[in-house]
Amino acid sequence: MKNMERDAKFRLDRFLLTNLVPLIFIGLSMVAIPISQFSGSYLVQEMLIRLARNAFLVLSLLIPIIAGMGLNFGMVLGAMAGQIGLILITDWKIIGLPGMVLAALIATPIAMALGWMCGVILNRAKGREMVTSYILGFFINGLYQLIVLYGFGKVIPIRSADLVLSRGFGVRNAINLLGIRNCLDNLIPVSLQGIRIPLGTFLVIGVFCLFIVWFRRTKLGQDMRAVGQDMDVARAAGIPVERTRVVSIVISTVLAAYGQIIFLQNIGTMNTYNSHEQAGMFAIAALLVGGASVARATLPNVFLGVILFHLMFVVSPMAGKYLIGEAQLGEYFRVFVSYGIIAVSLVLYEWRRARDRAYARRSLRGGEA
Amino acid sequence: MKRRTIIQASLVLLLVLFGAGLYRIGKGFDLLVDNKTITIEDRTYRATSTVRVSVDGGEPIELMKRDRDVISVVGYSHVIRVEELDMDDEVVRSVEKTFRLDRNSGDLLSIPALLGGEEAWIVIRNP
Repeated sequence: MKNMERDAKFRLDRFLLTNLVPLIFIGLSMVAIPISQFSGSYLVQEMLIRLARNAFLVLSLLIPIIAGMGLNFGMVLGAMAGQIGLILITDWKIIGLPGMVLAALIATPIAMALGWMCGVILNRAKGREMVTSYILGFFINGLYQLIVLYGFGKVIPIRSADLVLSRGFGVRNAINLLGIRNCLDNLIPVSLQGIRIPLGTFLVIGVFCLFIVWFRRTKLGQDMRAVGQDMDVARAAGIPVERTRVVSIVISTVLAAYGQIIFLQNIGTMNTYNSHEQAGMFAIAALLVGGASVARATLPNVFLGVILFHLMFVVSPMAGKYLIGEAQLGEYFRVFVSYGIIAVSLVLYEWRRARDRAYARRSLRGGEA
Repeated sequence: MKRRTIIQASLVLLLVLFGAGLYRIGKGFDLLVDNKTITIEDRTYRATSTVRVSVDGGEPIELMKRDRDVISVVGYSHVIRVEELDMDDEVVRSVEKTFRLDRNSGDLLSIPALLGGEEAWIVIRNP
């Protein structure tokens, strides 16, 4: 009887701990939405646009989590590859969907090379993948800036005067992506009661979700799960652990490149030197808000996370304005929440893991609390 | 091993060809449609009236005498339709012509030259 009570309490505690972050966000949203005074249709429209804009980037994080490599902060490498593709197609003036696909095609080998490099490095930093990939992002950012600031125009020819800095080399700070703006979102124009639905992008996201479901069942997907659960056991079972981990990072990096291209076609402008920097942080924060952890993430986590995270993005400045009289305070709150939530999720994950271990130890000892 | 290499090389080649195809399909051009008097190889074509110009059946633009505008087109082959208008905006004459663009072709479409029957009515803009 005592054991049953303890199990029930443990399950409740575990549920609350597992879903604490989404529950906090749902609570905050319920308070902030009425204060912001936004209409329901406006919020639905904003959420649909933001879901189309961000879901692919967030989905690209799932595969390394399956392989036990945690949250891939190195996805910014893929984002940079995507941006190089976008710079080139803007210079060549390739318009519409062909331009977007060509940018993805150009980004693929760059992202594969960067992903392979990242995977090899992470194999040498087992157990510290997240911090290593985070720092690796800064390192590659330096290389990216070097290429974009000095390579473009000097080594890589750029003809468009709209792109090149007045000194003759280097790419301008902001690039207008008018040629490909919303080309995927508006591919199949659908409008429901005045709410525009970016069906083209949702179809691509849907195909990606099916890919992830299928991928988990393949031999490689099963290998990744085995590696994610226990590397030593996986190695003993004949799975090439290091290679599997590298493949997971390569796939994630390539998908992040595509995600960044989809993200920027929705936005319509590219901040050459900064757009990629926030990509990883916001995608990871959104995934964690959806209830994912370092070791476990599902498709519902992605969609719930993007909706809740961006709901806060939209409503908090306005709620701040009506509540305190300053929109800026709401904006500070939003940034604080974005970064804070990553820290809270990581702490909760470690806490939960310690509790689970303690519970397992107690159970082995014979049920004494 | 050899077969695998051949398959991989073929795939890369296929992707390169796919990329080249995308380049051709999606290549965009900004063209200046110009209704100004122009001299081409000692022959002068005078802008005399207002014209309505549309390319590939797109939104038509109206150009008065000494007027110019920019249009964006996608792809290499296009059809231009020029309608000369009188004072009451009635169409006096209509000309339709197919033209091709490439890397070296100009980006200025001279309407007086086109209406005057000039072969080289697409000219390279003076910097």
